[in-house]
Amino acid sequence: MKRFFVAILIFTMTLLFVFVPQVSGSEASEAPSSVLNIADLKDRTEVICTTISRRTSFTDESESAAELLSEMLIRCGLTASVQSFSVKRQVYENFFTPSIAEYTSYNVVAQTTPVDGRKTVLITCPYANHYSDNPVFSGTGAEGALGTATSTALLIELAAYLQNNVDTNLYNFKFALFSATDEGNYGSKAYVENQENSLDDVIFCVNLERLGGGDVFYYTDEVATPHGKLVSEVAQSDLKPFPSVGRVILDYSTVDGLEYSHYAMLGDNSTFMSEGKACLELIGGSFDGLRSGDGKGFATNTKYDTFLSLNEIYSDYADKLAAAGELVIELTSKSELSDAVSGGSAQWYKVYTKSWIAYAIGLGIIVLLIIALLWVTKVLDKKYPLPKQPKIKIAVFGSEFEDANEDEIIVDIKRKDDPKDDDPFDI
Amino acid sequence: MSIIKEKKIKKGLMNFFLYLSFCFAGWYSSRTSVASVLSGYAGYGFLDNDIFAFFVAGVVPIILYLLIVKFFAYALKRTPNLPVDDMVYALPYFYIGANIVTGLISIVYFFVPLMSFWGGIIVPILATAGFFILYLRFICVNYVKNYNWKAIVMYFGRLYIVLTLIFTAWGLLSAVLL
Repeated sequence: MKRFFVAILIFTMTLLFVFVPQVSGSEASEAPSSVLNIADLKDRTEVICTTISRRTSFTDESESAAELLSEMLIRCGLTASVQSFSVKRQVYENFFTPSIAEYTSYNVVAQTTPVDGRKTVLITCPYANHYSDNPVFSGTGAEGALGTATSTALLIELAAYLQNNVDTNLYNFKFALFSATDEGNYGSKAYVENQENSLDDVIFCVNLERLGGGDVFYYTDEVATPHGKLVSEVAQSDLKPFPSVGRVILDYSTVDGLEYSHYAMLGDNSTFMSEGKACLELIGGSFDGLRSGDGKGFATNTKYDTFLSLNEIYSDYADKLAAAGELVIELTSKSELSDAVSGGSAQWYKVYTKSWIAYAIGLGIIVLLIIALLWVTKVLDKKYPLPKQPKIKIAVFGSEFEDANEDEIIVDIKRKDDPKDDDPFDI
Repeated sequence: MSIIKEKKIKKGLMNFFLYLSFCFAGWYSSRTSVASVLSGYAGYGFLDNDIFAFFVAGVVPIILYLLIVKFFAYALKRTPNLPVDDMVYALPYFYIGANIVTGLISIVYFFVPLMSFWGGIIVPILATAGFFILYLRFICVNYVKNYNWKAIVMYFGRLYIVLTLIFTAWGLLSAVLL
């Protein structure tokens, strides 16, 4: 038996090391030949990091950052504008006096020249960083190079490319650059609530997030969907499906109706999944830890997230941006996309994530256990009844002794002063 | 079963094995808790791993287990014809079995995370119930006269059900309210 427990111990420890999922790697991949220019992507990233380094949500600087990004998109030939939105938060001046504070931030929206009869694809990314203090986060003084600059650069380059090819595109394209993503996807939620931004004609949403570091992962939904299948068919080998094996589940909700999240659900795509839209999340990183796993000590939204660090640690970041961009271009050049996304985001499986249902089933099992317990005790009672206990009888007269049977214990009480008896209570 | 009857493994060592089994059983859900807590804090990279999640998974369950067992062992110490010490000694063996079954099934969740939500709640109830039945059978057969089996099964079965009911009801309330 000792051996058995030693075996259990060894088995457990083996599982620790064998089953710890190693889902990402740093294997080198060949630089993809892309329709997007690598040098342009690098230049765009540098411009965003240097000229719009201050892009913190809920600060005055976010307005000027949004205006600069809007100008960039207009220079690419798109129509673009800045949309402000406000978020109310309860703040405490001291422990007893709460008050409601209102904070304003800014999104940038743009679109290619619309063509009648085409359906619309929405491409989004967060643009804000944590350069300065805001009501939620302390400032890091870093440009947020990997955090948001690379994805913003890719979005702008994609916008320029798709605007240049507006005549041959199969779809109209809308673009949205959100602030306040890390603070709770407030930018995308405001975008959805803003009636100027109708989602009726939007059939597919693509969100670009933290691209350039680690690997590029694509994620569509929690279960297999037609658009997920199409994405995996189109994706090149250097893009990876977001790992389902060993996925770290977070016990808070970002998508409506789903009682958990994971790292591909924390971005603005969750807002559009909540709206039932078919989505594609393109996210960079290495998901081999329990946290977001940026890897190599390069954590986004920290003081290390600088353009200098990006070039030192991820010198091939522009290749990864190009690979991600190419997927978007190729996917949206397919007429099948329209049919593949017609079902929107999958909804059926959400019943299996409702923990209260499982707890209710658990209570049902307990009720069955109670019934089983009552039945077992009844059976045991019948099978092994208590042995008959002899009755205690006080003998006063001789007839009790004479009439006693086997079930009776006769207690013989004698007088205390009986000189023949030393112990009057000896029975 | 002679290893239990003859008490070949020391009680402390059994409790350590029990702790490891709790770690194994709770590993998957512990990853969720650790990741959810850490996602709000930068700078805790050294805790950002499965090994930490594994060993932290057993801490609360083993403390709860020891407290509950100590409490009832003390309360029932003077009950006539009840082999309290033997029962306390034997319990970890069966609890370890339940935890191993729960842990083995939780490996499936690494591949199919969607199963973890119902499985993580229902499987421990079924596994512990199954092994508790085996435990009661072992105690009755080895330490108790057969005409007392009914009383033992009724008392400890009820105790197990009440404790499971409390934990499940608490989980249900948390799931609905939080």
